[in-house]
Amino acid sequence: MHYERDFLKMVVLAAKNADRPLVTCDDCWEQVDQFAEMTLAGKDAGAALPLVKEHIEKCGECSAEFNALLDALRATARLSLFKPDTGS
Amino acid sequence: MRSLRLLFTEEGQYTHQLSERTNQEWVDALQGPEREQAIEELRLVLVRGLRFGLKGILGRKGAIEQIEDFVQDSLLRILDNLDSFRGESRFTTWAQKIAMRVAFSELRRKQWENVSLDQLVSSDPRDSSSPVTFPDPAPDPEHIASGRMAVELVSSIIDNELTELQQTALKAIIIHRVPMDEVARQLGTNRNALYKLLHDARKKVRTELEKRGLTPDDILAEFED
Repeated sequence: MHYERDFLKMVVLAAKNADRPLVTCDDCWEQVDQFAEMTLAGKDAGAALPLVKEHIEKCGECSAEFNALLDALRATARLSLFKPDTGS
Repeated sequence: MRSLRLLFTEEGQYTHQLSERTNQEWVDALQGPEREQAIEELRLVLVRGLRFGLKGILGRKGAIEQIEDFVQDSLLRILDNLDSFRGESRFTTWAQKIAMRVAFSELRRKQWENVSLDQLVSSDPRDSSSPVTFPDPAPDPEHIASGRMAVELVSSIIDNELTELQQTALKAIIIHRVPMDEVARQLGTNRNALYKLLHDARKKVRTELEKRGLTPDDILAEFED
């Protein structure tokens, strides 16, 4: 008996990308607020923070949290809670 | 000079006045004489954000009590971690990021709290009590001519080269789609450490393939029908 082929395929696909830099969920989370703001501003967030983009694309949990954060930010954007720093 | 904005409900009703603040003003307000007002305003922001952010999970109207619980937990975490706010995003974005993590972690924990990883993994379509053995050194790449041999080889690597923790985590996440938060909780670790454990596992699989003169693409080609 062996593992199912779909499972093995996923494992080998993961192995194929094993030499990519390790970006953990916490690494991603540290910058996901910046990533979300850039995304909503129509900027190329993926170019600015490519490792965050890559992590979000392959991590289901971080992807779900990121998309929910985008929805939350859209919903609160109209509140105009922020004013830019005018000092240095 | 602080300007005030009105917060409207979805039905358009006035509810509260909220203050515009710079990032520094948010941090100062949450620690100074305006603390109670700032906390209340931040609470309103988080409630609104979570209601919309979790709409697909909790429904449009439902679970407001649950959201309030998430917000209370989030406020505690935000206030405890004000020193770590570096101003790289708006304060309210940073705060909502924390609230989202708090909410998702709790939702996942509740969804999976009665599910045992041991039970899940033991029900896999694979009898680990009779592991596949694969002769070492491995066969010439030309001999990996069939999908069946590729299945045997990768199964063997998983059984014999990965640690028990790595095997359990891979099966739980890939086969059973258990969230990493929950896998980490049941394995007594955290999501970050689990991610590293999985990274080490995939590196190990790749190394073992390379030892046999194979690449992941060689195997993937065999898996294609």
